[in-house]
Amino acid sequence: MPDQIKLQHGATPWTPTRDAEVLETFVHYDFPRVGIVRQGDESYVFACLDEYGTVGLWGYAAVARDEVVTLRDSRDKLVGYFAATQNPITLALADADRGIFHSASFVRRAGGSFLDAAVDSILAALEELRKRQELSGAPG
Amino acid sequence: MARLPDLVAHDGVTQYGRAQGRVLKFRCIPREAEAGISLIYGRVAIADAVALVLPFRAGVVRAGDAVRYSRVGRLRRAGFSVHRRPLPHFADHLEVEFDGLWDDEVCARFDGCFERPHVVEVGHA
Repeated sequence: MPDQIKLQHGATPWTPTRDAEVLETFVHYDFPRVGIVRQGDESYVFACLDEYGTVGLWGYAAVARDEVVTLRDSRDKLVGYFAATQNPITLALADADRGIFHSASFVRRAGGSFLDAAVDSILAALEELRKRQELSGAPG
Repeated sequence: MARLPDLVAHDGVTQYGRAQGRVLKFRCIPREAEAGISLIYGRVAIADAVALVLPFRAGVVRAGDAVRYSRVGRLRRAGFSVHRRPLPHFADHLEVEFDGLWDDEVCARFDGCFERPHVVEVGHA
């Protein structure tokens, strides 16, 4: 199984470490939102999954090079990638001022769906943020 | 990707934005390291704008999602250049650039090019 992507707090979500490089951008709107980023020898799908006020929820999962062509050609395959992949998924919260400021990785549970795991992960992240009052005053 | 027709003055454009709290936010100045501001070719509905900008949320429109409309000619008359920047999953992506310092005055001029925004109100998502 490929390595999980490494994320540095403070980094931009589409180049989550200093050595990361965007190989392809599939969706750009003011900034890259969906594409392929290379880190070391691995390639990863990166995607802004949603936005809440100023905070973006980003997802990452390793992708084989021969799958990239499929994702470039098929919007359905791209949008369904996180649900379909068996690779570990990493989620991150980021905003323009702080870059990535929270992340959580998980491996799909046997019989569990991506959605279940993602919801658990994000609820835990948001609870931690609430405790730290990092979202105080920010619209949800 | 097939070559798309050149932009002409009467072509409509859409900017996607979002309410942050009670304030409706549309980008009017690029952030550092951004070449310009993104727009969508044509006058597209809020749900269609969401599907293009946030494809993983396609089909889900939330309170606070918003769009505003302008035309290529209006932006050009205000001193901006408008270019197609098509992408594999966003063929109708446009970028607005300004040759000079993009300061608050230019930001206000950019805002002035747009019609009144349309926004999804709370309870209507």
